[in-house]
Amino acid sequence: MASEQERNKELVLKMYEEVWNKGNLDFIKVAVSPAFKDHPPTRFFPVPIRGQEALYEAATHFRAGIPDFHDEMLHIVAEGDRVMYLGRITGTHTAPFFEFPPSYNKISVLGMNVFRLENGIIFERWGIFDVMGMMQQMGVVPSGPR
Amino acid sequence: MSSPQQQEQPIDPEQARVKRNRDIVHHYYEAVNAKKREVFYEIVHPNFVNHGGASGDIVGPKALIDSLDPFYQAMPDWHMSEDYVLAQGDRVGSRGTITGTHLGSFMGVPPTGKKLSWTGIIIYRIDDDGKIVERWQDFDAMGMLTQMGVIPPMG
Amino acid sequence: MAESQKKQVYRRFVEEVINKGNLSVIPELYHPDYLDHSAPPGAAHGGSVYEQVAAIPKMFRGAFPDVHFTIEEMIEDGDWVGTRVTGRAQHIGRPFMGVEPSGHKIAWSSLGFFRIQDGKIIEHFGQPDLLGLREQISAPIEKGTLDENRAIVTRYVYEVNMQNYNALDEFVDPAFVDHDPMPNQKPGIPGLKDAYRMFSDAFPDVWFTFEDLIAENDMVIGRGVIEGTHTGEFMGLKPTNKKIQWTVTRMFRVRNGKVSEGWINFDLLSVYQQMGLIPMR
Repeated sequence: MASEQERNKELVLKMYEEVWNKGNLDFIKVAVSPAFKDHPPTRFFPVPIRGQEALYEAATHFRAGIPDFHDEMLHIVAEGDRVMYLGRITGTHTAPFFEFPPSYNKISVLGMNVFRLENGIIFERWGIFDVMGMMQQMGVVPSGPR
Repeated sequence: MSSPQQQEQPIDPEQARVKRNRDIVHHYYEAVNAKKREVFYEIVHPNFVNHGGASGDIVGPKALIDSLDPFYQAMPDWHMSEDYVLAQGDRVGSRGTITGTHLGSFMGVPPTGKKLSWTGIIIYRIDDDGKIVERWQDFDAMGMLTQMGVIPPMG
Repeated sequence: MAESQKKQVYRRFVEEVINKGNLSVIPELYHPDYLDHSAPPGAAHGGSVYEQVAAIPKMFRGAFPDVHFTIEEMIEDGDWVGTRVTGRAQHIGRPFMGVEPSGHKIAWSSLGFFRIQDGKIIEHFGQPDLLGLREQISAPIEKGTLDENRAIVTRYVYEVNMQNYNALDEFVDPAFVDHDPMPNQKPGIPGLKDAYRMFSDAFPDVWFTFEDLIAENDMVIGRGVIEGTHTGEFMGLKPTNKKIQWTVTRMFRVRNGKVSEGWINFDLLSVYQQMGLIPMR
């Protein structure tokens, strides 16, 4: 019988595979709590930070702008009720991504996420991915207000 | 240098903290000038740490009081003014002038009998319980020791 | 509950190397075969492990002299430790990501993966929220606020450090009054520039590192440490070629966006002692 940590890792991996790589957004209903709370990096994109909608919208937008979006797991660790995931995001920016027109550039950035799970379901996430790198690759110069 | 109290408007927590910290440092200066040692134990945290200045890295209220004794003995009318006081966050900075008549010996050098005066800026860190926990100071030690005759005038 | 050995290695890295700038413990914490997948651009490539690792705290502490990282959590699994930390600092040092220092108080998150082998860090991936950090250090500063006063003093000090003395014309009021002038210092900005030149002539690599900045009403206090190599004449005294370090506390009045008055106290006694002119007590 796999430990709680092993099962949590499996759930997170399956979530990435189904939701992010295959676009099977229904899986969010199974994997993510309606009480989900997100802690995205600063200057993230305009998506909700609460509820299943948070991941639903994020996945929809990313896969729309990068139709061949793929998140490849590099490392995954689990301890207690936490899973931490390191992945490489790749794809080609061939459609509008939020307000950014398609650049047709290849995207490759690292992303890390810490998940808190309860009874095998994701309740909270702290994530930072290389937003700056991605925007540079998309031909957008990310600038703070000056 | 205190900002005018606006009695109609409620003071926000940050302003309240800043005011409280200024009052604590003022209370400390009153104690230092009146040589009220018992107040040190009230206001200064047991783990108080000093950085810099003549006293070096001393710890605790007793060490702090002891560090003032040579000055009290050298200048019985020793006084430190609060010329400018600034407070922000958990810090209070105070620029002051130390004055007194050099009637007692200091570092083994006989007194000059002259009126002495030198300046310094001290920064205090106050903890949430209102205790002084840390202090940084820069003093015109050269000026002080030269006036006292401990160091011959340079140049 | 005692922390695992692997977590203690990471905690020591944060507490000693990052928070205290104690680079000498790097060889104890880092494996000779260390591989950093996330070395920032411009970090030492092909240098020793020590140089590679030291480049990071040097960069952070150079820009943010009072930087303090708090470990929010560590997730250990096999040889890997996942970490989530919060950095807090004031941008009172050197430019960072091309943004010049403005005294901004900032806080940002950082995630990391560390592999520990034989009690030392051997592999690393890092993901700091650089966009968030840059946004905070380049945030616009409202005129007439304490933040503006902090920014003016921070820029003033930075330009003096870079020996761009003509920049003082931008930040300093022509009627500037120095309450603690050097001997024979002329009034106003010319006298101020002369005073700074006197120090940079004596210590060509002179650099003031802020450690704290306090602002209230129209006054600002900046405390820090000055370091320089004594290769030129100082106050009529021959160069000793020694690296000298002394504390300095500066106070300024800032009116209408310009520095109008200045006060200074610094440990000149220690300078003379390090030069060997006065015996240590």
